[in-house]
Amino acid sequence: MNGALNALPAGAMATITRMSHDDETSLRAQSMGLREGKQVRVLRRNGRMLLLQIGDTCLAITDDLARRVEVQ
Amino acid sequence: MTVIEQTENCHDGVSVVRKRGSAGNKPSLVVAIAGNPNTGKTTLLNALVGANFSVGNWPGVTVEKKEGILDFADYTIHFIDLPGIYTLEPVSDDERIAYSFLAEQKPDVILNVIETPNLERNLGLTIELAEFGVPMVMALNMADEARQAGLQVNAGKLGALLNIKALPTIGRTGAGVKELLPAIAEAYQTQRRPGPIVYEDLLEAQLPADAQTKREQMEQATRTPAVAQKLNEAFGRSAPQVIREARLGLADGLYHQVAHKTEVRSRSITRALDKVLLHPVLGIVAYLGIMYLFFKISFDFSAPYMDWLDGFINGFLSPLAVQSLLAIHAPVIVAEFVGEAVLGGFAFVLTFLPLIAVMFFLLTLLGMTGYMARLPFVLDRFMSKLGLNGKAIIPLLLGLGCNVPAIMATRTMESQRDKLIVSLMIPFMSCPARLVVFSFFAVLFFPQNPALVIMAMYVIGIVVAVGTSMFMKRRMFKSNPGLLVMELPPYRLPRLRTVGIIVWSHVREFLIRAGKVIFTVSVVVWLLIHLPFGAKPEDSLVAQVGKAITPAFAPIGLNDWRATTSLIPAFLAREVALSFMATIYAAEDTRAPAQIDAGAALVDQVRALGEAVVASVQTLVTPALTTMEVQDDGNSALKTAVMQTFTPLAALSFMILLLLYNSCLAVYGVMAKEIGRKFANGFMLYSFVIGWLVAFVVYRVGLLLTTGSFV
Repeated sequence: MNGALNALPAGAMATITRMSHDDETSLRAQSMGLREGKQVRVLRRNGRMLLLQIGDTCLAITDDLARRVEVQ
Repeated sequence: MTVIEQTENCHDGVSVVRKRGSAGNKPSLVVAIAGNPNTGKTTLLNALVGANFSVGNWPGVTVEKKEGILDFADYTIHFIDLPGIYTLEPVSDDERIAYSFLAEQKPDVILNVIETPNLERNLGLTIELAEFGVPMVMALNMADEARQAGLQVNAGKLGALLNIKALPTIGRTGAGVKELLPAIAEAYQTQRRPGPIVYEDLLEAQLPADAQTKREQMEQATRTPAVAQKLNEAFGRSAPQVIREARLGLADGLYHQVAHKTEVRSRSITRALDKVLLHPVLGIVAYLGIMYLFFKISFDFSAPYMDWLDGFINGFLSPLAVQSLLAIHAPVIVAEFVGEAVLGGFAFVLTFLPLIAVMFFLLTLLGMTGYMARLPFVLDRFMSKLGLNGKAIIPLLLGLGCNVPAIMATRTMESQRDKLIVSLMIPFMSCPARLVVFSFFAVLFFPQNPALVIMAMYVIGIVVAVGTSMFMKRRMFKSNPGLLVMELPPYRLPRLRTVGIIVWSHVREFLIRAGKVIFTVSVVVWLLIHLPFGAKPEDSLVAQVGKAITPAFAPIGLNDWRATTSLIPAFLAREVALSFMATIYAAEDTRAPAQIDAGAALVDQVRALGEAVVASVQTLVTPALTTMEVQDDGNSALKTAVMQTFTPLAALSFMILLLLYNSCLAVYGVMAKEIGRKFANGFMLYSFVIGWLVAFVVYRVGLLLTTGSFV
């Protein structure tokens, strides 16, 4: 099932299928390990922030950014 | 061979590197240390060079530049720690610095530092570095953590595939670090280039053939419209994205050839700590506790040393200097100039040292352990409402203790925009120096409710600070804070030695850079107060200036020249307003008798230092914050004189002005250093106008309420 990353509840795991390459923050996220084909787990949510685990990397991203990431 | 002249041009005033580099006759090698953030580059550099380490700034920006130097074999090796970056696409300040250093300064060797547990992600940058075609050595750092996480890396194979030497290291213990040196020398001597880096055929076919390095090839491909167009057609994506993916793809392939994960073990300590520290409720409680300790240790622990330094210079060195100069028949003005202006100026600068050292120690600790990186996540709910990054809370809170280290603490903020906005908010956070003046006036004029008046001052300060931030954001910055990504590194215990060296670098920088401004202005203000020499206070230069500006303050109820004049020395430090008023109201003779017995006084000073040590240790076991306690100034002559010239409303107006206009000289000094003289000057004007306007409104509304008329 396809959906946006920001819709995932805490604890959920998914694979990134598509993400924006148009804005600087998305590109930064890509260089930090958040990119297509990678498995991501939502560790926690706090306000507008999501805490993600990708491999050995732990990233915090905003809801607005997560909305631009499609997962399966 | 690269000549290391670039450090001569950069405006970091302190560089041990330069001094030693120019002294030795050995040929020098420039080694750029490059890697992702949190790979332990600084600790590794410290383990390599020991104390020959300095922290400065990259020219024109506030990004820290760390350097180190050491002699090895036939070379003097000059290490330059590039900012931690994820990619070399120049977007942020950090990336621009790293990119232009590699592209323009062309280091002799690149030392690529890898956070081994996170090898997969780190290799993306490695591929980009290898494209420069500069001899390269790889440090597979934190090798112990990788083992604990169940990750096995075949360093020999990784090195062979990249045509470089890859060595496991543990920066914190120093294991494997010294082996990097022969590898660096060898990489330089043999001029062995990494690679070749070869991408998939479809991409390679489109790359221009005439470029010297792979990096140039890739850059030309995106810059040449015809090539970019072809890539776009062949891959269905923009040329820059095709190149990004090709690099990451190569890195992935490399990773799978050399790494083997035996079992999936997460970082258990980090997980356990984060369960508490990132929890929506417990995280806030823990944060408040940590901040309380931070605040308490910064201010209470350092206060006894600050008081001692002040007493040592102003109460011992200064009178001793005056006495000695008079003894050799130096003119009185010379003796007083040396004793009060010069040594007094030094005291202004030096008394900040204990505070700045302790504050930077704690700040570095919070940063290196990984807690600081988590604040934006923990505090986002609150800070995003103000449109600020969660890290802003630390400098703002520090501002309540002292604005000077608070502004220096904005260095921990990555974005220039946030750093600037927070720096301009801090001076409105009321500090204990202002509290001294507030309590004097509040107790005198509002004896029924002094605490309420003081509280109102704090609130006015915070409201103006928030208003300033909103104004700045609306007017000057239109970026989108809604999109944000940051890495939360695992918790790690830093090496105390590294922390110590970083603290010392900051302290030295404060002394040299901000100290100069603070010292100079304090001497100028002293001259204004004391010239023409021998004149009565009411005839001094400062009084003449004070009298000239009185009409500008009449609308806010301050129409006595003595009140307006005391605003000028108050620029040195807020509490000086009171002692100056005492002089000018002739309520007190501030000239202390200049006869001291040097031997006995020295014994007293040593005893006082001992007491300061005891007092500072005691603060660690007392739960209350002593910084905020107020001592009553007990000068009743001054109180009577002030009562006669101020009305309660005028006193309120005076307090507001002292609260809001550029908090003090030292704040101006660090502001000029941290955000530039242009902003520091602009802020001085802005804060004065705001202070005047708020005082005007309060005074006039007060008049209306008490007398029924605005005038």
